[in-house]
Amino acid sequence: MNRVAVALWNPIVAKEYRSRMRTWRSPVAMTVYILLLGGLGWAIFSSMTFTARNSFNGGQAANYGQGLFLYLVLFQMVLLAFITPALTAGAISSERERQTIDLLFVTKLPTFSILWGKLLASMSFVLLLLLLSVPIFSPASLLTSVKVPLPLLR
Amino acid sequence: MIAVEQLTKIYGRRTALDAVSFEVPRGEIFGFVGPNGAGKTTTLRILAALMEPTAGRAFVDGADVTMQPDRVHERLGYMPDFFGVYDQLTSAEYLDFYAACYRQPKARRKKITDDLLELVGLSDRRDQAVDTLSRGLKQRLCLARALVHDPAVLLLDEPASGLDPRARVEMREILKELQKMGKTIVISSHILPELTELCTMVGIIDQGRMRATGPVQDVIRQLTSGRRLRITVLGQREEALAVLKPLPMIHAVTTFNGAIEAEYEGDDTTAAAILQTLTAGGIKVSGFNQLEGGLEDAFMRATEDAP
Repeated sequence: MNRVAVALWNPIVAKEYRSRMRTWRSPVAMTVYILLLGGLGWAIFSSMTFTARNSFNGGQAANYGQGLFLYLVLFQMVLLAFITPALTAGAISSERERQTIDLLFVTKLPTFSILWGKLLASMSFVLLLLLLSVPIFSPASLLTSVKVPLPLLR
Repeated sequence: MIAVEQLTKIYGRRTALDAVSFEVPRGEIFGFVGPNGAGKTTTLRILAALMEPTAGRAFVDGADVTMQPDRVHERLGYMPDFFGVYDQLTSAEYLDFYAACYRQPKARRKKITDDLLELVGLSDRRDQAVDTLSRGLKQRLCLARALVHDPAVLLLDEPASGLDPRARVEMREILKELQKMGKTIVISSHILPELTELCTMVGIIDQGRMRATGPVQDVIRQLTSGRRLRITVLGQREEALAVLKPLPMIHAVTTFNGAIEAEYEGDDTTAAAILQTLTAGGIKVSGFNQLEGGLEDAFMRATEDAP
């Protein structure tokens, strides 16, 4: 194995992936995240169609699409700003709590690898959440280029 | 294999270790005995390069624990006095994880895992989640974990605490097996009987000071001054005491549960002479045995005169 691979991939990452995806918390967290984001998107879209129907020129879908996309991005940022620290902050202290940190220190893993492994494992869960939100963002993104009055889409 | 020289550790104002020195040659099982809080765990943590000593030096297979912690970690398997298990992993995955942490190549890890599960008798539990194992089984798994990189030295902190008698016997069998493989083992414990049988060497520590160290028999001899007799007589206790006390080879005479216990200096001939003196004095002796000076006795003596 070359040095980069060793630095990027270490046993901690593999173990974290395994134990994280085996709990019921992960699917629940993913579901709640998608429901929140999707629910907000749906609420904004509904209110937009309502205002567009009553507006003077019917409202161009593209304009509303941009607004919707912007709101979703902002909301996603706020959500991740809360989720990321919740995932990463306890990574090392939980090892200490479980009294397993000494066991890692006596192995040949350098301290940096332990930290890096923990960080990488948590960050990739955040990345997974981002990927999961693609189906919500793609219709919003599609809407930005639709040149018809919004009420016609309903 | 292990050398500890004048090891001192001071926490704030409390001295946990006070110039502790001992040596363990290759292939020996060293029993590290002392009451709770005597400094056993501190010593083991320093040996495992997890903690820096305030003063003094320690070596594991020639590697200095403060200067070359990596070399120490390569040579040493450490089992702390808590389990340290992860949820959501099976026994096999748990061992595989640690084997990977010790940089064992992937191709060899399966064999290492299988062999170790076999050694500690957990082969049929390889796919069971670690956190559902019983206490005794967890302890065995943790021992297997300490062995994933085939270390020459094993440090076991209280390996038998909280185990039922059967699990304790099984643990002892595994340790004997490991000794046959030529490993040097340090076991700390506050439970003495389990060590007398297993250990080849012993160190008695109390309040951070090493009270005695060396081969088991030497330590027992060193701490129990002379040998002891238990004598029972038929109703003539006072007369018997009167005969025994003036004898030059007898250090001390006490009565215990109606029997007389006498400490004396000498060998079997001396014991026979004492019996002869008693019977010549007209005392009806109904029981006369030599008491085996055990590790327990040595330990109690070593720790009782502590300040």
